[in-house]
Amino acid sequence: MPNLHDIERRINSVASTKQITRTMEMVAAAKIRRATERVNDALPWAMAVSDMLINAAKHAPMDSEPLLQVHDEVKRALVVVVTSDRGLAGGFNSNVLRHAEKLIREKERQGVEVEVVACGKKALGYFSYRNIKPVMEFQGLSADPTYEEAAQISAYLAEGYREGTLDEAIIVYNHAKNAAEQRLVEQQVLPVNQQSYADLLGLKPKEEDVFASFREKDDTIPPGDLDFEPDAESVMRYLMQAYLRNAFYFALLDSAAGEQGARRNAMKSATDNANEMVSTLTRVYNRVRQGAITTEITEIVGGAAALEE
Amino acid sequence: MATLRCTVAIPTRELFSGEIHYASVPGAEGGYGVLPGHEMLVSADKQGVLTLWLDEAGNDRRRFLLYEGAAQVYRDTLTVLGRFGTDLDTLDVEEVKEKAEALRQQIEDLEGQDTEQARVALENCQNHMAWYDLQLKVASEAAQ
Repeated sequence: MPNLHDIERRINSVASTKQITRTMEMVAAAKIRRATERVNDALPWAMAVSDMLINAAKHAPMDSEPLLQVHDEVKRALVVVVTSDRGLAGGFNSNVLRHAEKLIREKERQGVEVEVVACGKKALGYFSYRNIKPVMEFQGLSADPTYEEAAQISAYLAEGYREGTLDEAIIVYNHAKNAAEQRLVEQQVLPVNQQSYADLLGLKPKEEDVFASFREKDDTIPPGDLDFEPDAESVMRYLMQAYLRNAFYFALLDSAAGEQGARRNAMKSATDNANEMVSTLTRVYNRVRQGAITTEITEIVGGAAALEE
Repeated sequence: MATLRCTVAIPTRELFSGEIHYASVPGAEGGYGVLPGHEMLVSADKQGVLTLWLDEAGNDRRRFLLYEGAAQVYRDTLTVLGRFGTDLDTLDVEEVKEKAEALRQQIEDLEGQDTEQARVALENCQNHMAWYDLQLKVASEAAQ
């Protein structure tokens, strides 16, 4: 049976751990607010780019923009894996990394050569250990992602896709569904798939009846032509580049918010566990203390009885 | 007199949102003016000063310096986006100089590397440096 001093030391140790986890929980909660503000700040630009794309797509020739084309065969793919720089966030990183590795192996089995972009120290460590050398790596930015990071990834992807050295791009990250819940997302950025293409550009599936648009007037398109300056190709090129940057920037922002949410959850569980452990240890401490007192009293009473005899 | 709804934004924040009477936009092939009722237009812009008239006579103006972007006029709404941008009235020259100096150091470091990532990062930094140079140029022109 442990002595009183040992139990007291253990209670103090757990209490100080609890203080740390509680502080980390509060810091993570504050960082969630900052991450949410960052997403809100980025929204006007993102919405404007998507709005411009939708409007331009209704009037622009779509065949000319290489980023809107689908390559006949996928030979090389880019997988962008977004994790955090630090741990203590439950299964936040391991979920993403396990899924990303499975995806990479699956692509390789299909004969596709995979290039990896590692965002966050955890991703970098994981891939280095498995002898996968990322083409691009970013560290120290997971909690405060920058637009420059997204711009670099999208520049590399756009160049590769235009030249034909890359045929597909996928991001794997945690989406912050709300402050407490994260959902693993595998998002295909390029080629823009039919569903997101329709969502992104507001386009309807091609109709067999070519006169349908004349019979059923679409009020969302104002009458008249849309002018492009200097030309439709340059405008679509700029907007698609901006769309790519947005896709990566929002994945990074979303993951940063999710990281803080996951850390707050993990630290809350740790604090709850510490509380439970402190109360259990306190009970044990009291029982041992009570036992010691009882023993002492018994000894005194026993001693006094022996003297009386 | 009729007004236009206007939004000016850069990737990380909104610079302006409100009603305006007239805008002078720096287009790719020279600046152009936008009044209410302007035809629908989407343009890819280069760099320059965007001027917004908040009143009819142009006495109350806001000026923004933008670098690379796009503008759209659609249903009497003007949207102007910039890759980089700042409000000219609050431009802090000393701060820009400090940032430019730090970036110059970063560019020197990147020039010594020959990885694919360093090449992309270098291009990005050079773009950023061009933005700082533009700010300093416009500020010095305004001071003269």
